[in-house]
Amino acid sequence: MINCDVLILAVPFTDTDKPLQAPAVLKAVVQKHNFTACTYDLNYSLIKTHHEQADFLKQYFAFGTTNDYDKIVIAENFVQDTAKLLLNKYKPKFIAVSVFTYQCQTYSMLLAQNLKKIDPTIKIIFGGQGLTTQGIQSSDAWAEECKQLGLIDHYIISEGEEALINLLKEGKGKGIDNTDWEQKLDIDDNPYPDYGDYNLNEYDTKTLMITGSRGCVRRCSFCDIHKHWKRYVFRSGQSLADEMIHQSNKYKIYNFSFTDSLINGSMKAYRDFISVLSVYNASTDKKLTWGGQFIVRGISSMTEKDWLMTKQSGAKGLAVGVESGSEAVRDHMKKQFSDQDLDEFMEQANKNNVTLTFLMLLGYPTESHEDFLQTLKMFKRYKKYQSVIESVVLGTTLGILPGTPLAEEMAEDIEMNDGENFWTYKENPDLDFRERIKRRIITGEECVRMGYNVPGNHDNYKFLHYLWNVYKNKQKQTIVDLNTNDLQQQKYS
Amino acid sequence: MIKIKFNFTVNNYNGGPKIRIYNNKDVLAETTLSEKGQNNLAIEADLKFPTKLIIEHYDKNMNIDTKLDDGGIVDDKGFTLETIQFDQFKLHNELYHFKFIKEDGEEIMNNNYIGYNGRYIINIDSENLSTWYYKLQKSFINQLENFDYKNFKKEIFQDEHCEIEY
Repeated sequence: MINCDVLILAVPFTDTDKPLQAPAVLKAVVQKHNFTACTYDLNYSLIKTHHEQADFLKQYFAFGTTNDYDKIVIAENFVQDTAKLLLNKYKPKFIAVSVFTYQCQTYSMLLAQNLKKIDPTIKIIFGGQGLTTQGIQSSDAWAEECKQLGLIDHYIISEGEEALINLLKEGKGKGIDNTDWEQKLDIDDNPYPDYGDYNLNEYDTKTLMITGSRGCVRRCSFCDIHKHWKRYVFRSGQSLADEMIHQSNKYKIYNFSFTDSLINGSMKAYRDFISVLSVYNASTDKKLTWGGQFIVRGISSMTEKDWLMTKQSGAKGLAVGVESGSEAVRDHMKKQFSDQDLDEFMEQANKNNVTLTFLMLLGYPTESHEDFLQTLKMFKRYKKYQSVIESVVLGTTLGILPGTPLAEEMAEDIEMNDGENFWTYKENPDLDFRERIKRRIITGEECVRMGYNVPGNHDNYKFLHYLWNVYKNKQKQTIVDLNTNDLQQQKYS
Repeated sequence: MIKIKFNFTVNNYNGGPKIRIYNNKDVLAETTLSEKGQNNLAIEADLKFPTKLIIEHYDKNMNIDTKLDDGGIVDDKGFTLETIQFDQFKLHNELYHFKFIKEDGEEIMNNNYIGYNGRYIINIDSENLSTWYYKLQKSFINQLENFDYKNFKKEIFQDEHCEIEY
């Protein structure tokens, strides 16, 4: 038996072949404060399971749905066995469960139930963005309910680094069993994530996650990030580069994926980062690579020298929120880049062979038919850059989330029609849900025809079909409608 | 203790339907729904999950408790289950999906009008209400039509063409 103060678990279901970061981050923080901690990535155990009902288990844990109600007992037994396995191996005082998205809720509840059944004295803590279910701004209702049911002892809303320590030391604090959490303004002093308990050789993708910032410098109309993280806080470029170099030496993994809303929010920190890394890469055979979400900047903001260092520092697969081919639509979104900026950005990405993923939002409230055609024209224009446009994520159609500027500032002109995807806008009445689906279908077919890679296209249609049925039957769209397990798609559903 | 609230729409011919409510084999309540129209019933019960909540309709004589006129039913002894609420978890449309077993053993599905003698069974097959309730909600999702892209596209575009000049 391994004794520890806290056992930190990543639970299913997140469709990733990378090691989830939260347990490693928290383990390092906990140890820094002289507590002992172990981690276990139950998510990856499920991803790699040879269970004869593996597909069913993944489907059920992710969506909580099955065509065969009687089969649910298989999932329940699977979690029961896992709980036994954990408590045979570890003897923790606390078990902290990282509920990464709402798709981890089904498993989390079952696990807590079984752990408590085996040992009612173990204190169970739920934390993570998956505690809230309908947008980042929503309440702690699910976690509170788990607490009332006796499944858990505590829950931690949002950032866990300080709250978990406060909980272990004092049993209370900001963000513990309440939504009154406080944003950490200095994220440079966090210890590097500790993956010591992960068998990193078993992961198919040899990539480690890294966090360079929290919050966003933009305030895009469709996004609620700024509501959650009131301030944009970021680490110094030197600190980021140091972590990547240190972690790559320690774990022999040389690719990194940023969890940030954007990597190049602060150009100063970004320049520091790429300059240190480009020098490092020039001096080693084990060159580092990295990717993540990136803002489009024109050449006046991101210079040719910046692009060169971006390439030399190992950038690849940058996810870019292009959203629309119409500058007017992007202006309304407050994306703050012009067609010329985008053209310059694409030219440099192509010249430096930095690969990109386009993230698109179809069916924005102000999107006219002409705006829609602009998006198609953009894809036609950028066919020449297809060697660097690795994929185009079209998602479904725009959903209006609570807490976003669209929901708050245009509330009087937007009718939600019982669903975040079903809205209509008074100033653009022709763009109803059916019309948005039409535009999505046309864009999907045209992109495929032009030779772009459109990942998740079929699943997006399937999800839209599901939503369409809800809509036409005048039912209400609820959380279980968010039927996707792909992280990028989740943002866009 | 769990509060259980029932809302029925009653047809009270010949005195109205007699019902018993069980927690597995234990009788929680026994009453006659004698008033026509909306009836409410609230009980508190110490339910231990998993369990079956059963609503039994009994003592109806099918020969005399249904009023016919020219072969058509004009009045009846029976009731529609409108809503059942367990603490904060309310069942409404969901009630259409539980099974009703007639006295002779025949099972009737997709029905929330209790016009025969028999047992309407809500199988709470989880260890707490919320797990069961969410499981139930989610299981309904898969009862939707199967996905066929061509049909979906046809339905969305109706008679319009999806080819576009740009």
